[in-house]
Amino acid sequence: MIGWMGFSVDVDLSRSTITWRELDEGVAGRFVGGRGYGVKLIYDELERGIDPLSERNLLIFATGPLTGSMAPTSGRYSVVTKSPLTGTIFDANSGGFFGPALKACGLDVLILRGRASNPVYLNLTDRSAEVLGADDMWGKDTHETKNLIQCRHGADAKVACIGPAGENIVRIAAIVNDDDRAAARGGVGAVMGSKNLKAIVAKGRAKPSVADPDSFGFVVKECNKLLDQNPVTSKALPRFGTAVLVNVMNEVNVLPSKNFQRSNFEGADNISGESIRKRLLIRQRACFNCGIACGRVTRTVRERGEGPEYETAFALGSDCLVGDLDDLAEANYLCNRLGIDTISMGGTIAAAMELHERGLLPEEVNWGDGEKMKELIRLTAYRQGLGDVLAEGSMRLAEKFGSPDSAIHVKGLELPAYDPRGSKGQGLAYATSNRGACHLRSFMVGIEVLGFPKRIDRLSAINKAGLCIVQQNLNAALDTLVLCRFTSYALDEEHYARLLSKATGVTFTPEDFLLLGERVWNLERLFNLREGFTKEDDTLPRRFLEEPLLEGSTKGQVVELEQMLDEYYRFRGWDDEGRPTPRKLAQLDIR
Amino acid sequence: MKAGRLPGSSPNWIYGDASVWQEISKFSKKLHDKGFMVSHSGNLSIRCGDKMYIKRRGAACDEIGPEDVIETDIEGDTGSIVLSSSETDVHRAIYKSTSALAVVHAHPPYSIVCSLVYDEVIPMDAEGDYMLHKIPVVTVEKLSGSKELEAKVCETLKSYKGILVRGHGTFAIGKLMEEAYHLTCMLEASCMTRYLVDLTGLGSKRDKTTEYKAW
Repeated sequence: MIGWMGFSVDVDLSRSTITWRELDEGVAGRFVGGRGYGVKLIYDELERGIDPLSERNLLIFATGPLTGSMAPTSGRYSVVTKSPLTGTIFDANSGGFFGPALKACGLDVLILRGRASNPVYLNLTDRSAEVLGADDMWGKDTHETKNLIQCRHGADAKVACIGPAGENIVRIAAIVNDDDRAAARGGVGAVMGSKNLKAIVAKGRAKPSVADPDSFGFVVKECNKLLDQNPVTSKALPRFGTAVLVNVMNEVNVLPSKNFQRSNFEGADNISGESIRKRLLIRQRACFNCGIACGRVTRTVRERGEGPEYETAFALGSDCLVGDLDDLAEANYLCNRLGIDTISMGGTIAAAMELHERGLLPEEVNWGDGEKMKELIRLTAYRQGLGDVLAEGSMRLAEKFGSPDSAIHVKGLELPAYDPRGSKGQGLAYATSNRGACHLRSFMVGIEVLGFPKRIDRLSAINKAGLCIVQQNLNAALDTLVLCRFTSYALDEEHYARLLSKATGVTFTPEDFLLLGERVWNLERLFNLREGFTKEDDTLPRRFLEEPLLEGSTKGQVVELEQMLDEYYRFRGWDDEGRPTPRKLAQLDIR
Repeated sequence: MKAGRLPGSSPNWIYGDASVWQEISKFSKKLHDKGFMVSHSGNLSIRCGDKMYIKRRGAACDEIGPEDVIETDIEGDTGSIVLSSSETDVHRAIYKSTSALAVVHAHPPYSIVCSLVYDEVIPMDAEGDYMLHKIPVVTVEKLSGSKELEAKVCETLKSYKGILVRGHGTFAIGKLMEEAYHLTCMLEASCMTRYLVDLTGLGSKRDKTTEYKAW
C-alpha cells in the first residue's frame, strides 16, 4: 500500500493493551482514510444505543493517503466517534501540524477504546506507543498541557489534547492541537475526557511515500497554480482570514444575529476581517504545507492568542450581539485554552440570552455583555453554576428552561454562521447533514451567495437537492484524504482524484471520487438510522420554517424545507422515509 | 410523466424566475449565436432529480419555446421520447453514470476540426491550460444516438468534464447549465488557439504538450 503507512494501532485504555495491525486493504480501497475509514470502523464496531460517554464508545484519529505529502493543505486529521452532543456518528477535523506528525509515527489510524482508571496520555513514536500517567497535566489548559509535554518529549513533539472542558465532560468540548487548531465540533473532546485521556503526543520520523512522485508533483504544481490565482485562496483568506465573510454576509442579510432572530448586525464592521487586520493582527499563520495561511495570530489590549475566525465572530459576536472586538477575541482565546467549540459555545450562550430575555432564565445573561460571556465560558469549562447547564449544549439548556425553540440546532448541533432563510439550499444542507447543522458538509452559501462556480438564486427552494448532494458527496470524499475545505474554492473532484491516484497508484476517476463520498455519506446515514434517527430529524428549527425575517433583502423569507427534502430523498435514491434502498446500497458496494 | 408534457411552467427555477425551458432556451441561443450550434443541431439538457429536461427533436436552437423542451425520466423511456432529441439516450446515460446536473452537446467548428486532426488536444491558451489541461477525442463508428457513442462518451466524461467526439462536436458537463456552457466555450477557444498556432507552422513558445499528456 503506497500512500498509506499501512498500519493502525488499537489502544484499549481499560485493559492497557496496545495492538498494531496492518491496515485493512479492502477497507482502505473503498473508504480511503480520514473520515471514511473512521466511519467504516465506527459503523462496524459500535453496538446500537451505546452511551457515547461510556467506555464502549470508540474515538478514532485517522489521516489519509495525502496527509503529510506535498499536496496543498495536507496537514489535517480526522476524529471520528459517536457524539455525546448529537447521538449521531460524528467526524471533526483539524489543521495545524499534528496530522503529519501522527502519520510520521508509522500509522494511518489510531483507535482508542475503553477508559483508563487514572488520567493518562498516549505517547507515539516510530511504530511504538506507550500509555503514560497524566496526573500532573490534569486540570491544565491546552497551552499549558502542550508546553509541559514539549518540555518532557522535546519541542518537536506534536500534541493533541483536551482542556478542562474535555476533562469535565462538557458536551461541546474540543480536541486542540498546535495551541489553537481544533477538532472542535460535536463534543469529541468530551469523549476523549470520558476515557481519561488528556493528550496524544506524536513524534515520529517516517516519511510518507507516493506511488508516482513525478506525476504526483506535476498534479500538485497544477493545483498550486490554481490556488495561487484564485481570488479567495490567494487574496481574501490570506489578507483577512475567514472573517472576511462578516461584512459580505451582513450585506446580504445572511449574517445571523440575536440568536437568529435577525439577519443583520449593526456592529458587523467592528468584528469583520478588515477590523481584525487593522486592530488585532500580529501575523498570519499557516497550517502544514498551506499557502493560504488564513490563521490569525492576534493581540488585544490585554491578551494574545489566535482568532477570531468567521464562525467565531458570528457565534460569540453577532449572535450574542457582542460588538466589542477585544471581548470577542478574548472569548475566543478562552475557548481555545479551555478546549471548547466556539460555535456551540456561542450558540448556547445566545440561547441563554434569549431565555433570560423571555423571563425563563433568572440569571442575568444580557445581549451584548462581553464580560458575562467570558465568565460563562469559564463556568462552562468547569461545570460551575449556570455553566453546568451550558455544558450540555443549547438543546438541553432550552429544554430544561421550557423553551425548546430557543435552541437553534439540528440534531443537537448548534448552527453555524449562515441564516438559511437567505440561502435556502443551505437550509437543506443543514437539515440533511449526518452530524447535525453544519456548513462543511455542503456549503451551499458558496454557490448561492458567493457564486462558486456560478451564482444561482439563493431564495429559491426549487431544484437545490442535486447541487446539495454533489457537494455533500464531494466534501465527504475530501475528508477521506484529509485536505482542507478551502481548496475547493479553486479545485474540484478532478484534481482531488488525480492527487489520490498519483499518490496511491490506485486509479480513481473524478466520478469514482464522488462515489467514494457518496459511499461514506450513505454509511453515516445507515449508522444514524440504526440509532433511531428518522425523517423527522431531518428538519430545521421552527424559527426558520415559520418566522419570516424582518429586514433587508431577505425580508419575509422562511425556508420551504418540505419540498426540498422530498426531492432530496428521491435524488439520493432513498425511500420516502429517507432510508437508502437496497439498490442504492448495492450500487455503492456497501455490505 | 405523460407523453408530451411540457416542463415550462415550473417557476422559481434555481436561477430565479426563469423556468427550466427558459434556461435551456437562453444557453441554446447563446451557443447558436456563437456558431457553436448550427440551425437545429446540438442539444442541451438539465437534470432535476430523477427527471431530465431536453430539447425537442427538430426544434431550432435559437427559437426554443416552452413547448420545445421535453421532460423524461432518467431511468427509462416514457412516451415523451416520441418528441425528444435523437441524443436523448446519450444524455440520459451521462446522468446515470456521472454526477452531472447539466449537459451541453454542441458542434463548435474549431472543436470539430481539431477532433478530425488530433487524437487529443493539449490547450495552449492560458485558460485552457489552467482549467482543461487535456481534451480527449473519442472515436466512434456511428455518431448519432448509438450505444457505442453512449458508452465511450460516458466513460470519458468520468475523467474529463469536456470532450470531443471525432467529427461530431463537444460534450461538456457541469453542476449548472452555465458551467457546462462555460466549459463548451473553453473547449472551442482552446481548439481554435491550437489550430491557429499550428496553422502558422512556427510552433508555440508555450507548448505544454509533453507535460500535459500525463493529465
